[in-house]
Amino acid sequence: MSSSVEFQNIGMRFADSVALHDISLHISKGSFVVLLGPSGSGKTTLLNILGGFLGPTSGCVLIDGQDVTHLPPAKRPTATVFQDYALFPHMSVEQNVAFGLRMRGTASDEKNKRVQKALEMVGLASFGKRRIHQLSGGQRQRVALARSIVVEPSVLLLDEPLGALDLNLRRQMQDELTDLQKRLGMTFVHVTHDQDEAMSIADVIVVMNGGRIEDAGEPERIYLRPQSKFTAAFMGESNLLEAVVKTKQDDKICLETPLGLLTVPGNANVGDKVHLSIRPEQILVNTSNADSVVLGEMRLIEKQFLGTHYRCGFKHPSGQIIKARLPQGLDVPEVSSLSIASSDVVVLSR
Amino acid sequence: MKSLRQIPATVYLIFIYGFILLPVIILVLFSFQASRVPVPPFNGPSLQWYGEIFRDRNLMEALGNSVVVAVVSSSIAVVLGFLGAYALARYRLPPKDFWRWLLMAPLSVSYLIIAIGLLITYNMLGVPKSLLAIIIGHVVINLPLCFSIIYSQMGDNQANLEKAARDLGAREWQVLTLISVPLLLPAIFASFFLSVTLSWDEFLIAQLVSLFDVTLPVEIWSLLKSGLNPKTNAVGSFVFMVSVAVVLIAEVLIFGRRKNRV
Repeated sequence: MSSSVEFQNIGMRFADSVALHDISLHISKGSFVVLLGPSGSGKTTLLNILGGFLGPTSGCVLIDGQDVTHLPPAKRPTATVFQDYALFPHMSVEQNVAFGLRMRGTASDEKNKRVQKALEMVGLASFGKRRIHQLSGGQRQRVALARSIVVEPSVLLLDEPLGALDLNLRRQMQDELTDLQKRLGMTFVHVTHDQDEAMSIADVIVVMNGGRIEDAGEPERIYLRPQSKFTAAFMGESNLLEAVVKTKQDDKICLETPLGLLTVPGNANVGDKVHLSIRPEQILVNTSNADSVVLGEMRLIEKQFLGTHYRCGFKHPSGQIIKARLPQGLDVPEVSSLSIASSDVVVLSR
Repeated sequence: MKSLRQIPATVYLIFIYGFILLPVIILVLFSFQASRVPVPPFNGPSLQWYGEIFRDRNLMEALGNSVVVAVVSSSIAVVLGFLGAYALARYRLPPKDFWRWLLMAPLSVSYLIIAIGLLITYNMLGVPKSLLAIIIGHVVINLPLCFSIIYSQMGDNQANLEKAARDLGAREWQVLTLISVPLLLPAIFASFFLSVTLSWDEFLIAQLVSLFDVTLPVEIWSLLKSGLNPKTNAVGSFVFMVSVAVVLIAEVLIFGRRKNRV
């Protein structure tokens, strides 16, 4: 019921552009993987190659160790939930869900049973006779899910399936997706450009940019210890500071930054140009100890109340602006000393 | 003020509809004439000339031929038009746009030129002047229309549905019969009925490539040669009413369906 997927050196070239550069990626059995990236990053192209809708220019795709690169979609153990759902408007909900089984020639008794079960699973048990145009966006989404899971694919592909839903419904569907994935034990490969969505549903996030994989790993690791400047900037807000390595001592490096010289834990060669990533919510005001990196005295220039926190902007005498997220009710003086726990500082060499 | 400004528009409207419809109204009116000449004063109504045409064996034979030609040629044109549209909408066949242009080209050629071309070709191939020759001629003129109507409805949305069907295991013929054709039914019906009405009253090609078996417009033409009489009005009105009926059937079938969906 569940399969592993292996992309080996996948390249994809279109007439006038290169969509994917030498992508290699392993997706383990039963995991919920999210391909995350801005539009044009190649994430949908990669999904289409896995689904069999596009043939890669180079490289191959393995499902459970079997080369499926040249198999058409119908012959692959995959099923796709499309961005616009692609429900058949001339068929009822039941007929839509039954379509895949009908194509496989499943006996009508078993077919009806499985269709009913799939509709129950997505909470639409009593909607079988409805027409597609009578359903709301969220319900259509569920029918599309039911139609794909009823054929029991071992890998389910989801192409930005929640993009058209409003925020509340999207949250609810995210929970239902993760719940469904756990119950079915299928491998899910989900494409989105929404970082929050990716973090809330993924076991593994694969960050893509410009046809390359920037970073792949668990959501916490991707967010807290990003491996590239792009990932740090793309995964939520971050203060990115250009820096040059001045000296190196044991596992600490001294960097020249717009905020002056900072000594942080890290590993880089003297003379390297790196970036320093500082998450706004990790900034501390007027509290420092032996283990923190002091960023300096800064002037408060902006303060917005956003419910769960204050969003503040501080200006360093050098002109550099530092964004910070401070707890509600905190009294922020006009001029404050900002610092960050040294373990929170991320040094990015690419 | 407002009613004053509407006067020119109203006059224009009366003129334009009068210009379009008056000949038809006169034709239909005098088909109910009781005397032997279709000129004023009107002294009907009488159905005697309608009785006359239904008793005329030549006319009835031509009517049967017309029905066969219209239905067969339209069916062939729709099937070929659909397949052409599907191929060009779903696959890239270089040079770009060339095949589409080539399929639509007969639209811009006059029926006379098409008829002469057909005559020469039939002569070379040894196809005799016959109903078959007319059917082929009508496929030639209707295929571009069927193709362009169906092609215009094959959007990306439909391509996505076909992709989804393939993903769920449908083979190519199943994609066509279960997804593409049902979704395109309105366009398919529309192009079929349009072809039927065009074929039904097409005269030039039918006249030039037929000999003994003729269609209704050709038979009417030979009637006209012996002068105007209310019988020609009656048969003309009959041709017109059948066309109107076909259009009405198409309306009900196509727009009736559409209301049930979306």
